[in-house]
Parts: sequence; C-alpha cells; structure tokens
Amino acid sequence: MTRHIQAIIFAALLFPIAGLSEEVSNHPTWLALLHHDRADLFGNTRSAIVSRDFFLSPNGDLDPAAELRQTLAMFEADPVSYGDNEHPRCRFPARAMWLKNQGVIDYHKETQCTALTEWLDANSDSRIGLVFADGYLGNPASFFGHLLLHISPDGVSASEHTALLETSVNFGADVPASDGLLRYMMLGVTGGYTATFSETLFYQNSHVYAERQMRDLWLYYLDLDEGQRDFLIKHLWELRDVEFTYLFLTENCGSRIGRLIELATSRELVPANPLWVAPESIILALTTKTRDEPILAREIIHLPSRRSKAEHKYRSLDPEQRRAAHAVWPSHEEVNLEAEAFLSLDESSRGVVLDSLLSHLLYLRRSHPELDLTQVQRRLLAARLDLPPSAEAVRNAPVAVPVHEMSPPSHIGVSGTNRTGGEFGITLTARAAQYDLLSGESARMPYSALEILALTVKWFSESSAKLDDLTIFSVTNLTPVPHRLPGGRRLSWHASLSWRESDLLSNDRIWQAELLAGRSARLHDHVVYGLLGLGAHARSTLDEALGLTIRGGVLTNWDERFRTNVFLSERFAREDPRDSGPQLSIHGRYALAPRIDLSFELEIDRNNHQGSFGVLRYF
Amino acid sequence: MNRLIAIGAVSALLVVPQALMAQDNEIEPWPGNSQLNPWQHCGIGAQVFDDNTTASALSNVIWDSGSTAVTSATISPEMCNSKDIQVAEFIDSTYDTLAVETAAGAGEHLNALLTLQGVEGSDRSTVISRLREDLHARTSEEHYAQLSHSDRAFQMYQSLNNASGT
Repeated sequence: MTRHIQAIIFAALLFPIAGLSEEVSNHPTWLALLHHDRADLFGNTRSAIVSRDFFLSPNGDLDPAAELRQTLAMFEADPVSYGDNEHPRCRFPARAMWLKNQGVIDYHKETQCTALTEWLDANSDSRIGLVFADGYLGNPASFFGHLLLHISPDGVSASEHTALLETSVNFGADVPASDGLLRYMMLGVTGGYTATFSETLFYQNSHVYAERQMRDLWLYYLDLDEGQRDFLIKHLWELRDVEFTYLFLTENCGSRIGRLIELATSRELVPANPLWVAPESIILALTTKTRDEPILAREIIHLPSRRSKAEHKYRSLDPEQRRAAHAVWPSHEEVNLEAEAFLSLDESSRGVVLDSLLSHLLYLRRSHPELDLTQVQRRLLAARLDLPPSAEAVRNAPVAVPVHEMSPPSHIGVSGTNRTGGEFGITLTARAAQYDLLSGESARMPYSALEILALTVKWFSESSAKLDDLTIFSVTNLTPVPHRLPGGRRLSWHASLSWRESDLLSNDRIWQAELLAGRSARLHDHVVYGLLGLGAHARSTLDEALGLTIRGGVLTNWDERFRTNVFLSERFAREDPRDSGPQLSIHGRYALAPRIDLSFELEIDRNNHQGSFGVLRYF
Repeated sequence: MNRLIAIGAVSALLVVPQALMAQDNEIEPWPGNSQLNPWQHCGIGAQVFDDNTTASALSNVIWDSGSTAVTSATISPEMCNSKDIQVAEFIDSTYDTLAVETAAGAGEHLNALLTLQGVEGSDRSTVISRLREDLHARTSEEHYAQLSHSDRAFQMYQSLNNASGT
C-alpha cells in the first residue's frame, strides 16, 4: 500500500497542474461522469454521489478540477505497482476511456483488470434499453411510474421470453424494511435516504412490477452506436455500490437514468434545475424527434402485467368457453369440473378455459393474498394437466397504448361558458400533472385519476377574472371487476384537497378535503361506481364543517376517442345552510387530434346550472 | 475448483446432521448429483417479501436478490453461487407462474427456466412432458394444497433436474 501511495504522490508531483485544461474539468461529460449535477440555493454545485470512495480527490465531490488532477495522477501510476483489479483504471474505465479520447492522457502500459474484463466481455456487445413501469396507485412513491435500465447481453432484441433472463438495472432508495409509508414519504421528499443502482436478472423486477403490482411494462431499445454503448457499460461498472442522494421529486430513477443516457449520447433529457422529473418524461424525450435530434428509441416491446394477461385471456374466450369458465369456478371456494357446460367442450377448448382460469387465479393470488385459493389452484392445475399441452405458446398480447403515445401529463384549456341567467364567459384551465378519468389511455392505471395542481379561472363580462377552483391533488382509483369470475372485491376510493366554490355558482370559496370509498362494477363499456365518505369543508371564516359526501356515477368508454363521466354528488352536514340539493355533473372528452381534446362540462343543481365547451391542449 | 466443490458436496452429505434435513418433513435430501438443497442450505426464499409488507409495496426499494445466506458451515459460498442456485432462485421467485405454464405446456417463464437449465432444442418437449407428469402426480394428491411454497418449489427443482438428467 505504501508503495502505491508513493507512486501516486510522485505522479501527482510530476503532473503539470498548471497545464491542466480548465476546459476539460468543466466539460459537460467530465461533470456527468462525476454526477456533478446538484445545485444548492446559492447556485453552488456538487456531485449527487455521497460515497467517498467514488472520488479520488478528498474534494472530488465539490471540485471537479481537483478530481481531474487526482484522476490523471493516479491513472499515470505504473501498473507494475498494482495487483489484479487494483489499478485506478480498473475502477474507473469510463473516465479512462473519455480522457484518452480527449487526448488528455495516453496509456503506454496495460493494466490487469480481470473483473472488469469479465464484465465487459459479458456486456460490451449489449443492446441497451429502458423499461417503463406504468403508475401504481398502491403507493404514492409509485404514482408516476418507474424507470429501469435493461441490458440485452447478446446484442439482439429480447423477446418476451428471453427478456426475463436479461440484466435489469434498478435505481432506488435504500429504505429499511421497518420504515412505514409516511416515514418513507417524508424522508424521500427531504433527502433522508440514499439510493444505489442494483443489478439483477429482469425476472426479479418483472415479478415485482408486472406480477405483483400489476403494472404494464414497456421495453424501449435505444439506438446507441458501439462507442456510446461501450461508454455507458463502463460507467455502469463505475457506479457499482455507489450511493447517491435520493430525492423523490428530482433525484429519482427518472433523473438518474436519464442522466446516464445523457452521458452516453450528449443529448439533453433532464432539465438543469427541474422542479420534478417524471419517469415518463424521459421516455417522451427519447421518442420525440426534434430539429437537431433523431428519435433515440424506436423498437418497443410491451410486457403486460398479470392483470392485463388474465383479462386478455378471458376476453379471448368465445361465449361457450365463457359459460364453461363460469360453470367451472362459480365462487372462490367452489370448483365444478363436472359442469355440463365444461364437459361439452372438446379437449382443446377445455384447455383454453382452464388456462384462462389459472391466469385469473394467479391474478387473484397476488392481488388478494387474503383469499385461500390453494385447493382451487390444486384442482385447476390437476385438471389442466389431465389435458394435452397447448399446441403452441399462446401469445398474451393485449392491445395497449405505449407510454410515449399517451397524452402528456400537463394541459391548458379554454372554453366558452354559459350559466344561470344567460351569462356568457370564458373559462381557462391548467393542470401540472398527470391524468384523469377521461384520459382513457390503457398505459395508465385503468379507471383511475391522478391530478396534481389543477386550476380553473373564470371571467364573465360583469365581473373580473376569478380563481374558481384550485386542486392541490385529486386521486381516484376505481377497481371494477372486469368479468363474472370470482373477483375478490376491491375497494374503490377517492382522495382530494381543493379550494373551490361551496356550491355551484356560489361566491363563497372553501377548502375542501374528501376521502371517499366504495365499490364499482364494469358492465360492457360502462363502469358504474358509488362512493361514500367524509368531506371536510373549511371556510375562510373557519366555521369548519365535517359532513358526509356521497357520489355515484357512470364512466363510459364510448370508443377509443370519446369518454364521458356522469355523476351525482350530494353532501350532508348538520350545520350546512345550503339548500341547493344534489349536483349532477356531465363531463365529456373527445380526442380531436394527438394532444388536442374537445371538452364539455355541464353542472346542474336545484338552483343553478353551468355549461362549458372548449378545447384542451396537452404538453 | 470443481473437485473442491464436489468434495464439499460429499462432505455436506456426510456432515449435515439429519436434524437439519428433518426440520421440514416435506423436504427430503435430493438424490441427484449434488446433495445441495438450495432452500435449506443457501437460504433461498428468505429474501422474498410477503405480499403485504411495506417493503414489497415500495417500487423504489432495492432488495438483495442476488445474494443468499449460506446456512451450513459445510456448504461453501461457491456452491451457493452456482448455476443450480440460479435455477432454484428462479423457481422460488416464479413458482406459481411456472406451475400454471407447466400445466399449459408453454409460457415465457417455462421457456426461461429451460434456457437457464441449459435444455435446448428437441429436449425441451421431453423435459416439459416429464415436468407435467410430475406436477400431475403431485397435484392429484390433496396433500399438495398443504405444502409450503418452499416445498413445492423444491419439488419442481428436483423434477427439473431429474428430467434434464443433471
């Protein structure tokens, strides 16, 4: 060790510090290699990496020039002084590659880096992809989706079969198992956790996201040239066991993986000082052609969730097969393999029916672990094994809109409004994120809404413009059972916080918090739902009122472009002076063009009405 | 190195007390080439989260899916880092899906398992037939429903090794 230190000091002394190019230490690629992308309130920048051993200089996390000087000095050290895998160039091959390409340094003696060589042999010819997992309302940390790096080692595209054994690189916070959800959220937002890249076979991640959390996955292969791939693979080696600052909004999987792609491609994917980085924004940036940049992700593979697979298998059954499915498994505990509707089918059809039931059983076992389905599973498996195997692998290919073809999360809108008394006015709307019940895109969680920071401003000729509605957040998760198979009823729920009029056309504005729960059911293209719960209203005069809120409605998917939501709401409070009765709302959205919707809304109560018709633009 | 591993495996057979084998009556010593039981000796399955834990709900959580706990001093870390263990981990993580795909005779997880095991070409249909026969025999008994997850997974692991002749 002493010999190493002497060699480094000697090399550092010899190195002409004054000759160092400031241009190199401030080069975007050098800063990206150090992940020097965090800025404090005073504009001082530092590395997002908190592991001390990632930096060769004591001030490397704060001073890129010092890190460059120390890196060059240590890279120059004679390899003879080091054992296998010990030379700094073994630890930092991407730095070595880039500095050599810049002509800053040249290496005359080869180093012995057996472990690195094995890593490069396994991955250098790989294709690199990104896997997007759609949003998951079971956990606030997953509302906005998740991003993984995917490595197909043999250089060819994965099929849905081979992808399971390929390499998956996850970036996530290291959260102790004992931390509850609230603590996780608090520390996640304030920087209380660190995060690391972890490498595993893809089936592990597929199991968590697609099989347990029922999230559709999308694999986007990137068009990287050989040099870009090599550079990225080498930098991934450098990041093994390296800890980063984790911030839920800005230093998350989206920003960190996005910056890795930026490093390899020099293409800007993450803004310099973002307020937040949503994982899907990285996908959108990679799939959007700009004046200067081509589309970087072309080949896309859909990896459907267990729920999508099970629903697709059921929908693929013909009417006779469906009748047989219902007859074989009429309730959670009951299996009737002697049902006439089942036995009347030929062997092949019976196999198809049982395959569908077993896929649904997998969905239930993971989404409703409280159900004891072990005997049902045993009997269905035994019955299926009595029949011949499938002639060929049945492709589970439910049709779904990939994330990059969905409407972007933000929108602005303008509409003409008419209200009681024949008044006409203009309504302006804007939303920061993310989607609502009328978005109707299957790559989002189905029958759900997640709106963050939405506002409505109205201006009528007789008055000045007024802020009519400010929604801080509004989350709705309708969970209709899609068919008559034993479903395990799931709770539908809604939670929101907003500042809005107390009644239709009222001048009284109140803070309103709602937490509702109920049931929903799907009938063909309609989802019928009923929700009941607490609604807390707080006026500016602080005469707070807590009441019951009841809401029922029908969400209809008329076709791929047209959706409506018709619902009736009523609120009951002991000291509520309102006499306007229940409010009927009819909301509709028609997709006029990519990123442009026609929108209409009609609200009616006992005393007033208001209707608007306009256009929404997504961005 | 292979010779060392083989010696280690034989030693494990001789030294591992019967009490360890009898901890779970459903798991018997595997009569194949190796005496290694990945579930007992390498701690496979211990890292799988229950469905309802906070950790399993957090999609941004990292878990240690690659390392396993060596639970016997007679089993070397190398033995718990072999291809056999990768196969065992795959079965343990995806058993329910594998059972359903085995029953159907096809599927992406079943395909991946055979790839991991090194079963190629026309051997695949033979191995799938053997897996179906074994699973049929197991599921025809009421007792199957009472088996633990580890027991079922180990049975499939045994079945695969016997069917593929390793």
